[in-house]
Amino acid sequence: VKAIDAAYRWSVASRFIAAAAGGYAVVSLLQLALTAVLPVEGYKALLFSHQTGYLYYTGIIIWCFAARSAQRAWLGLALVALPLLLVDAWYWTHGGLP
Amino acid sequence: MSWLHTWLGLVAGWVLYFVYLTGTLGYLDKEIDYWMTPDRPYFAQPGTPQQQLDVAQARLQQVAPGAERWNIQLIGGREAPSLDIAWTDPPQAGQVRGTTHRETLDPQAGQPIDYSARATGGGQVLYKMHYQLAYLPYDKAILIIMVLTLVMFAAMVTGIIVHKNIFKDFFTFRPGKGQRSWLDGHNFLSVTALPFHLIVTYSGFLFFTYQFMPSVPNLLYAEARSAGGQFYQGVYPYPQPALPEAAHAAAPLVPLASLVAQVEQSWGRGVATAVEVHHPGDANARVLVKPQETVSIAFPENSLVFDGANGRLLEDFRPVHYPSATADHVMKGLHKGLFANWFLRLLLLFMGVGGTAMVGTGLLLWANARRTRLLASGKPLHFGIWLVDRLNVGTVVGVPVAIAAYFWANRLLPVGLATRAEWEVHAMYLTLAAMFAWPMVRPFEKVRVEMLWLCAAAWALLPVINALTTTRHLGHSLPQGDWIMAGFDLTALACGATAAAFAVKVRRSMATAPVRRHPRTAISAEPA
Repeated sequence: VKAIDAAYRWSVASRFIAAAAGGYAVVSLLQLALTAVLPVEGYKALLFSHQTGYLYYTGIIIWCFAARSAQRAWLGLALVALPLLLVDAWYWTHGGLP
Repeated sequence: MSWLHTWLGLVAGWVLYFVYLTGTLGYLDKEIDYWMTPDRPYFAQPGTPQQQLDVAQARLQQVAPGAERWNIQLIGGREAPSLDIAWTDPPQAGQVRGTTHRETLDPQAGQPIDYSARATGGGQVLYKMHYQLAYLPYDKAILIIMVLTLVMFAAMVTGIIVHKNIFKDFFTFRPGKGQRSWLDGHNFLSVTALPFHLIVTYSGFLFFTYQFMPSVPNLLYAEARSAGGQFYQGVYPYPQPALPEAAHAAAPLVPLASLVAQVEQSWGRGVATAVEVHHPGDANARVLVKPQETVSIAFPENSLVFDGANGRLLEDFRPVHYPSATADHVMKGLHKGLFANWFLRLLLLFMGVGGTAMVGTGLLLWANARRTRLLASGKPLHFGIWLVDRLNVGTVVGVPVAIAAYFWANRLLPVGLATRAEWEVHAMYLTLAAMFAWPMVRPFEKVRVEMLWLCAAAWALLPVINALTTTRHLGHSLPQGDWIMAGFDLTALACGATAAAFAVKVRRSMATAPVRRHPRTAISAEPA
């Protein structure tokens, strides 16, 4: 039985925030990125990215609690978010609206 | 992963149990509407579609010759147990659309039937609680439900990961073994209807994607006045047949009954269920005939368009959607289950009840497992378990009792009471509040059995209350072949019998198991 101390509780809280808030942010970034790169009209890509959003979100939640430590959970999110941010920034500056 | 599954399940379980049960009743929304409006008569011989259309057209011609639109709903299918008509006035100056009036007609005599005195929310208000909850602003309720849906979906996926032996679980049930039996039952309920659980949960998201994750549409449609409106218009174009404006030249409308032969040639008999007339009596009148909801899962807005002045078939309208929009329609169609005939509807109902039981058994397992572990290690039972036990029984038994109270209120509230429909809902939630308060003040091992007996009585007495307050009881509905009314009463009896069986079972398990009390907190415990 694992001892439940303050460090353990902080780690759970950190994973929870990573899953809920971090997950929400990454899914939003991913939705915009999909809208940018999918080779169909913007609104079609937007619907697709919205329909599938919860799959990614669920994956992120599981990752955040399956990762070996809370730090690794956050690191994983950052690694995914970075390229998405680049795609989104490119899309935003090149101004493509659906 | 097991840890995540357990905690996700507990956090969301209480509301999800309510959502699963009221959502399941949505598969019977129209049947419940019918039971809750007992003043709407049953028509054993509704007549052919032609006769019904003649009756409806005569009435509409009499009361609304200058209306902008007529709607006729024929008896048949689940859509309407009676001949319902509606007409919409031309818009007044400054209005976008005109007022709509509704009537239910006697299909033989053509006279309107007024059953509005016994105002009710019916099955519609009840099933809408599974995403609107109650007493909450719509937006807030939707957000709560969306978060819980996400939690449930994650709980299901982690549950699948936890259970590596899905196929074996399918055939495994070891009764009478306490904790082990509950876990087998939980696994069995989850695994047998797994595709159903995954699809209703995931498709539940699709109704409110914008409300839950509005950031990208808001960003992309930032210029627009209403980003949400733009999003919906953009991604869900709802193609409609193009209809002309009124010509403002009079031309008598063809007898609607004369179109039936052409409709049956295209669709077969008994498929058409609704008729919509645009600009009746005008040279540019158009008649749209619509099929029953059971024709397809996605329920596309198919229609046959006729020229109202000469009865010629102008268009066989079948909207085409782009792939992800089609996927959306199919998923939402599967969620609503409007496509299901009575046999599929019964299966959906069983799977919905199974899902409710899946959440219920999961909740009970959480508390049982912890109680057993604490007792085994000789540690005291803490307040958390005390509370979870009571919230569990308040939910698992209390929600069905509260739903029964909603039906009781429908029969017992005075007819003609202005706020009757609202008080049906109040009765439901006052009962639910009492069901949560009761286990807090009574010894837990007693209150579980008492609540189950109350649940049994609340359901089993519904047919009796129905017999005492209306003339539509089983003695009438069965000989008449009024299967919706009779089916409700018989289902209520079955629910009562099920609750009684549980009461006996819980009572017996308590009699055989020694009740151990913890000296400080006085919490009962059954060994697993």
